[in-house]
Amino acid sequence: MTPYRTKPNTRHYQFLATALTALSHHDPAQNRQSNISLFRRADQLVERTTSAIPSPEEVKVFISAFHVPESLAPFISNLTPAQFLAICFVQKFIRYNNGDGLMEGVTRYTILQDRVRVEALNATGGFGFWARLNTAMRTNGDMRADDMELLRLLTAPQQIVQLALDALSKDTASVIALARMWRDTCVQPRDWKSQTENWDEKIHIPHVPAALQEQAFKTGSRVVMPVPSVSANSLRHEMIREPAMWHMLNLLNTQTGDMPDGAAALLYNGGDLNEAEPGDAFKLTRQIRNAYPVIDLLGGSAKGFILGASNVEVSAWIVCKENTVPLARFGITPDLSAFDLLSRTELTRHTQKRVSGSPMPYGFETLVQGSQLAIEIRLRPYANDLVAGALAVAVDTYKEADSTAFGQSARGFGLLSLETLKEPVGDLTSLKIQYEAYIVGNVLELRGGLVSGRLTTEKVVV
Amino acid sequence: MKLATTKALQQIGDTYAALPKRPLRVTAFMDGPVITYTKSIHFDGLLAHTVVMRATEGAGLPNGAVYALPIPLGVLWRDENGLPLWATTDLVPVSEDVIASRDYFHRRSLEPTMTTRNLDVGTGRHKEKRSPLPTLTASVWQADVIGHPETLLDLLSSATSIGKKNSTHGAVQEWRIDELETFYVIDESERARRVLPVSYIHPDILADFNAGYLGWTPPYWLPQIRTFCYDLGQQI
Repeated sequence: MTPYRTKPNTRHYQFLATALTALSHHDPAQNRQSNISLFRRADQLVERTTSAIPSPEEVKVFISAFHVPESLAPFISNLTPAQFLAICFVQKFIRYNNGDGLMEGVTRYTILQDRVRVEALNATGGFGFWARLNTAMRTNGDMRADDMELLRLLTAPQQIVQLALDALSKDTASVIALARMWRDTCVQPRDWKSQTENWDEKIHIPHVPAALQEQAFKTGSRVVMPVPSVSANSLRHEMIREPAMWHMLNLLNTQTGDMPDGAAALLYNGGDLNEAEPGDAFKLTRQIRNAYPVIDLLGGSAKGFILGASNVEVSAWIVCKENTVPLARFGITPDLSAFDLLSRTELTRHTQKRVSGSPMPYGFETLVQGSQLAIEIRLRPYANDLVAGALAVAVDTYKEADSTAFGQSARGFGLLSLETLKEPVGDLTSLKIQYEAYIVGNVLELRGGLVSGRLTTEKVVV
Repeated sequence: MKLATTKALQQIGDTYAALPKRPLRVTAFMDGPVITYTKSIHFDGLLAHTVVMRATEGAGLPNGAVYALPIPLGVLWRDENGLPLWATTDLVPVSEDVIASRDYFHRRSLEPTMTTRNLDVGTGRHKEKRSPLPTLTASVWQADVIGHPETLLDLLSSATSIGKKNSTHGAVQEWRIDELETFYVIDESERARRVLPVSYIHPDILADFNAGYLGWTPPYWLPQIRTFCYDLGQQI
């Protein structure tokens, strides 16, 4: 039998948004103390950029070139090659920089942990990771001319280094703890004053070639990694909810300060529940959704009941190689990685004593000016023409009046230029006129509903 | 328990009951994460929701009653109230690219310029919130059913997305239906491929202490229809 196929029946827009200024969109998942905020990321399956996949035997030979303290060897042997290499990177860093007293004290290790994680997320190989880590830690990356282990780390097979970077970004605390233990095993007692970079050789800590019992090594060509991404929910607010609200309030000649906070919250952020559901919630919901196409479009919550589901769906992708599959339906073939688009902005926050106080520098990752986003907005099959009109005016209002997205727009970030690639089939102008005529024709009732908190029903519902 | 219905649902139910049905495999092609707490989607729940939304032109049904919700699938069993165990497995990710992760939703509070009151945005109803939600990303999801392919296909054309928070997650790009040789709800290692009431498997015992107290037919969330069940993937 030929398979039956269908695509969901939605009227939809497709936009290509180009950043006219850098985009600032911090990662809510970052659990860090640092004064550097990462760009938002989401776990994604990406193709590795390497063509040569080393065999387990080659990995074994590669690993055995590293020497570990004999006392730790039995424990280290339980690690995977990726975990072992991750520890090697950090151990080398501590070893090279401890002589200057840089890696003394808990705070330094907290900073190291933070920066190792950030740089492991951004680097694509050992070469880049070492350079980035030294830049972030303000160290010079100096190495001994005969350090073959570091040479091997910097030129390690891409396949295995990517897994090591994964361990460095996800299991950072464990990696740093073991790397520190490794170094401490080799350190002289405290009363030895002549610390040098090769003290372990001087006090003859016995080392043995590394051997891992389990040569577990993934040979697949794809890896899960956190990739810069944008929040469709954020765009839904910026492009639809907020402009739809301002457009309607302008037509009604009112403002949020005139209405109960619950009504303002319903329009601005969807509102929330804070009391028991009334017996006639279903009838009230129908009345409210029929009266306010904006609420029928976006859903939300009165104080005692949910006002039903949204009639609009939003998806958004950064135009980058990692999103090649979803971008195909926009007719876009990306040529850059999301990591190529990342940049870092550093600003200074001054204290009240502008001259004598200590200013606080802080930084955050941004997507560079010129980055692009592919955005799709879909109307569900149950949306009527007034709802479609509400969406159309919301998008128009966004284009004309705001066009910023994500964070720090007041500082000049996130200005977008929006190119429409596809519009819903039908006469959009007529839908917009129909919607605006409905609002204007019912100004008193709709404004009264918002100001009284009754939303055109007989009860105060927000 | 008396099952409620409406005239429209009754008519749809009569039409669906008369349709010839056969084993089928339904595939959903996705291009983004799905928010789900259960690692699967109840496929009969998705179909029942779609039937109700179509029949009521998006209005839904009032809360409170237990409705007889028709869907174009075979019925494996009915409980003492007449509630059906539909012939479907859960919709589960089947591609090799499965990623279990999380996403975050922010609820911003009103801006100070939007109200004349002094809102407390640290606690209470206007609190600024960040909610972590579990996501499951996979390019292909599948469910096996006994159903009527043309009717299913027509229904699925209105199922635009799956999972929670589906205005921004879980968008379906395409649905496909293929013939299937045999349909089964317990796999070869004797694990449940959907939630199965204990009474369906063992009509002679009252409860199995390995079973959970779960919803098993649409709407799954309704407390009145919960009973002791084997969950998806549980050994029976």
